[in-house]
Amino acid sequence: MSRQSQLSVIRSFFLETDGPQQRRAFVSRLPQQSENDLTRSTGAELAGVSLPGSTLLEIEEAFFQLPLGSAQMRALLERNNLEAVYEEISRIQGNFYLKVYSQYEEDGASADHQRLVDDQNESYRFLADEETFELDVEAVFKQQELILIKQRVKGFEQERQKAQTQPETFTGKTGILHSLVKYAPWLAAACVALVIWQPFHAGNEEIYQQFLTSSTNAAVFRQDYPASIAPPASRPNLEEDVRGEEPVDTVFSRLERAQLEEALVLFEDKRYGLVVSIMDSLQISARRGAKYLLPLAIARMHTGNSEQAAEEFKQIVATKATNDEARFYLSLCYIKANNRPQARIYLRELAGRAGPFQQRSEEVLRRLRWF
Amino acid sequence: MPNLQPHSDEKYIQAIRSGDDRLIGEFYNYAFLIARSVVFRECGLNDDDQFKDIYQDSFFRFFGNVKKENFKLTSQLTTFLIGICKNQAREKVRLLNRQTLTGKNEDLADEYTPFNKFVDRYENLDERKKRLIETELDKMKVNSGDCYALLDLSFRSDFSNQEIAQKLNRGIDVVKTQKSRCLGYLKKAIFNRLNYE
Repeated sequence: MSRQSQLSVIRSFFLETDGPQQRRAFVSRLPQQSENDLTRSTGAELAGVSLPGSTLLEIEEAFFQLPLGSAQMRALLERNNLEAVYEEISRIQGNFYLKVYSQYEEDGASADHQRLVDDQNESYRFLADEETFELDVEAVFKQQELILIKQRVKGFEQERQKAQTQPETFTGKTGILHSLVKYAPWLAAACVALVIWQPFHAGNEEIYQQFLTSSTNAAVFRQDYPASIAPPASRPNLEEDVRGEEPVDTVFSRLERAQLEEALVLFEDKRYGLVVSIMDSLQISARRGAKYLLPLAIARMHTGNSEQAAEEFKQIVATKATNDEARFYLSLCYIKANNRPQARIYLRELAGRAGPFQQRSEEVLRRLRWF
Repeated sequence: MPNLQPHSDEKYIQAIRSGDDRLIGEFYNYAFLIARSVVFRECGLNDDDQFKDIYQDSFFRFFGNVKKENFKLTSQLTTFLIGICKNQAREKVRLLNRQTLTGKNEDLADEYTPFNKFVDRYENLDERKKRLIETELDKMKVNSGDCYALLDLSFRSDFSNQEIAQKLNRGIDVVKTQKSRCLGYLKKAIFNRLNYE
């Protein structure tokens, strides 16, 4: 509603009504919007209170009765000088507010209003200090975080206690180790089986046969013995390397020497059985024809009599400390007899010094089973 | 001695900062027995229940420290945690001894908590204000996620404006303005609520 129409309503109100009853009837006839504007013009709404309709109407009446009592206002209204009327009304309104407030105070209405004002002032004070507010917000954040962490730590403890009653589970490196532990019996069994089986090592009999066959090299053998086989050239062939040994030509007759030469030829032909029988008939021993003891012992090994061969090798080793060949074959005899520790002593000795049996001894040691 | 720690220290620190509870729980369990044996051996404590309290309290302090971005590890993570446990246990034993003598009950010293200065502030905060800030922050979380995230980074995670700017890939001035604006929104929301609730 424009100010003009508002004033015209006011004018009608003043000029066309007489007495409270007519004025009340006038207000009730006004359209809703007009009524609201009329109400607003009293300033009641601006005072921030809401009143029951009847009370409001009484206040309106009281307000409009004020100008009616003024001769100046009546004159202005009669002259239709509406601008002047409005100014006069505004002036009177200003005074009226004070009266309205005082009346509200009496009714207790202003206590609410005062509370509202007080609350607003409190709110301003409450939020006034920027820094304090920021710290307060931070404190709230921190408190939330604190509660959260405490809850989580408590949760971890509950989980830990729960885990104690359940089968343990691990992750990462520990997990891998733990999973291996499950297979530990199987792994241990496999290791034991491998140790027993020793796939890269050979059995005693296998080593014995292999190295006996490969080592009995006639050429090697003959290199050491041509002089003993050949008839003496200028002087008797003295057996200097065996203590107490007598020269061959004095021990054996011509026939026996011929038999020995035949035995050596048979040895080259690997007819070991005949070699053994010939040499046994000639009673070869450490004291008699010690040089022939080695081929005899080797021939015995080939015929399967390793125990007696070992005894003969021992005699050779005892009388000739540097005879590597006898040591090697003796170690083979020990292997055949399952006496690996004793065999290892000779083999290590041979492997430790340069010679034709060094490499072979190393190989036998490598292939020999641990137990 | 072989290191049987399931994961590396760096991985656990990352887990604590990113909130990976599975890994943190794993570390909690892993360090528990080590800390227990050390504390029992070196601090004169032999009560399991007391140790559990001490361990939880120590882990809480440890957690708060490690979570800070500027945390620098100068030893193994387990050693750091056990160090806190030992201090707490010694303090506990000292107080127990004193209680035996004086009959007084005292709280444990709170030397490692990064929250100390805020705990008192929070305790002394007006209840109405506390409630209003919490409520409005919850609302902000739903209605203005960016603002909440910014305040969260600043106040909960202790990031500086510079760090936040790097994290959010924005200018530092923008971050400052946004933070100030977000605090302003929060303040206005609380003011409205104060007057109209």
